[in-house]
Amino acid sequence: MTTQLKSFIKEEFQPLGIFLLGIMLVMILLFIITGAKNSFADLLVLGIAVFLFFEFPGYFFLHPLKLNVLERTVLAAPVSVAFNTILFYFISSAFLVRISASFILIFIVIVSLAALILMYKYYYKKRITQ
Amino acid sequence: MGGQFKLSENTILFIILVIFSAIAFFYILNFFTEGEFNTGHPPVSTTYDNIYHPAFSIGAYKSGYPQFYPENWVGVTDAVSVSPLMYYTSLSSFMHLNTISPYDTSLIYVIILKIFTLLGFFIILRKIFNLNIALITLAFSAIIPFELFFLFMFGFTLDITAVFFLPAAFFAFLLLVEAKTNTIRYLSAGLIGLLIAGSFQSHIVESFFFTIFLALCCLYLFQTKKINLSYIKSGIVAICIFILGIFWFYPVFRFEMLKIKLGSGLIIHAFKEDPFRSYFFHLPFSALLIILSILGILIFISQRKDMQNKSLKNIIFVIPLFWLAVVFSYKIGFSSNYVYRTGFGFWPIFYLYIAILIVALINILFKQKRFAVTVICCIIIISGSWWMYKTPGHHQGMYNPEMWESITWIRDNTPQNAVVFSLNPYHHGFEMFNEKIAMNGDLFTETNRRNLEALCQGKYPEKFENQHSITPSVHRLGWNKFEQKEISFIVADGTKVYVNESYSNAWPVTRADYIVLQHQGIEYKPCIDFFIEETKKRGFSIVWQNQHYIIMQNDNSVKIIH
Repeated sequence: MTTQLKSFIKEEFQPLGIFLLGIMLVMILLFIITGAKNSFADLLVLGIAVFLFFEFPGYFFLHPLKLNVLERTVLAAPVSVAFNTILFYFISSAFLVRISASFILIFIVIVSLAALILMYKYYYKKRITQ
Repeated sequence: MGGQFKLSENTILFIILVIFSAIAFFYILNFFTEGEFNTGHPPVSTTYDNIYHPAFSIGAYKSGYPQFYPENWVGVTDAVSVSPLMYYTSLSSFMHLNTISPYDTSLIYVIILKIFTLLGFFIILRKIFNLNIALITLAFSAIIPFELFFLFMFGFTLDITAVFFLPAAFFAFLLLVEAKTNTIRYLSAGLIGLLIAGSFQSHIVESFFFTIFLALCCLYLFQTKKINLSYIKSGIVAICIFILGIFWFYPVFRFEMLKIKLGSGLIIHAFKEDPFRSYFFHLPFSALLIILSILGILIFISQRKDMQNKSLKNIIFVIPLFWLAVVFSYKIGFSSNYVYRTGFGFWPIFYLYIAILIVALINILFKQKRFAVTVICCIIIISGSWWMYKTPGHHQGMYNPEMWESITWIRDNTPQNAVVFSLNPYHHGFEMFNEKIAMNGDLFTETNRRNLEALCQGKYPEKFENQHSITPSVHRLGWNKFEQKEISFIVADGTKVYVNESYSNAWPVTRADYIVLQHQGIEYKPCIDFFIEETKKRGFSIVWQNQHYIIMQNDNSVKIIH
């Protein structure tokens, strides 16, 4: 792995890690404030689901726009939700694949990776060389 | 306001976001603590859409195939529904990633999406205008003075989420404009085509909003003189993908729907006057907002010469202008429910004009401009949210204790196949939670001002029409609809009717076993006393009443009561 690629991955994933921690903190707060009405495991799963569904792959797609980390994290939500909906719907109807948790996870990972590669190839590399 | 005290941009942002997050957190918390359905206490706010649409999503979630209708659809086996399905894919996919109940998931989902959308608009406005204007717009958006703007309290409803592909479409357009290679440009164009196709497959009428999106894109390209061959090719790519997306679904699954819609004139109806509902529950406040907006527009136009980044500003400025045009056209009778609702897609920046006006005033009146903006934002958010929270029942779709008492009385004291005619502006709520069979008809909704006028003139409405299709219909809503297989039943006057069916003739009130109506309190209509007296003469008697509501029972009904 080249140094360029390493620094790109670090640049992209570090803020996402912080965002995930933030979501987890909110979930812990919800657990405490609601008097353990919901199970802690449920809330943690909800936090992870929000993180995956609302941030990927939109966060990577927003790379070319000149946004700071917070702005990217926020705008990633409507972009990710729209993109995931379209993707799951058309793939499910094209190949008659049953939508399940594993299906969603696999496609979020694949599309996010594809977006990451596209952004690295077409934007990050060019920006660095300039 | 003098002195050395200065707030940095980040400090202001931090203060406002903390307050905003606290309010948002309160709304989320609300669903964890009070938003339980199927229990004894009333939900904070809902319409039947809040259960109807999550119910569709749960159907898609359980089947796993969102392109097919579930076997059992709203209580009817092998039913053919014309309800669109694509948006339910979104919610049902999110349900798959969760372990909490699907219903709770639907509420959480829409709240999170709305919060992110609001913050997204804030970011865009901050970039295009400035922090002060963006903050005040955000503050106004957070309190949401109209009932339909009170979106934080809403569950997953198709009407509101129907435009949620738009931010992604705008992003794709920006990507297209700023792309350095044709590959990215064509990919972005393809994405735009797919998003528009997706929108057409979901809420066909509201997807007309994309015409505005396309017009804005063209405006941008013309203003910046970016038209060249690669843009024309991108347009062709977008059109091809759009056609493919549409034909992927319509010929096989949706042709019937399209035929029905065209045949019924529903699409044409969308451009005609729709006086069915009153969207202006706080008319003086709405009028004030509109006047302030007009002043804001004048200030914007006067400042336009000094602006940088004109093309983007013009684009963002045109969007709420369209919205206002829709509002005005609605008021003068040329628009419709559908067209009006398409405007909601951009509701947060409706307040942009007002923010421009307030910031202009701050610039004249205060030296410590940022401090003034911070204080004004805090006042707007806190007082507005507090007012909304403290006045439940004043807004349509929200339950007050008297209303909830009448719903639970019907739920607990009448047979399961009782037919209930809810004659009040909250009939959605009654239909949803009383767990009985609902007979649709109009007395109090906007269409039926004439009914009320007739009542006041001493004329009794012998038959009732349905507000949307001009034909009455019967529904089974609430949780029971999932358990009941019964699709036809005999109503009080001995007629056989079918659930989910529309009828060509208007209903006589004597078909209902029960009538629920308001006789006092907020939105009480004085001429209803005449209606009550006349209904008594037609074989009904009052079986229950509280301060605001009356329940009348049909004494000729063959069903066993209690």
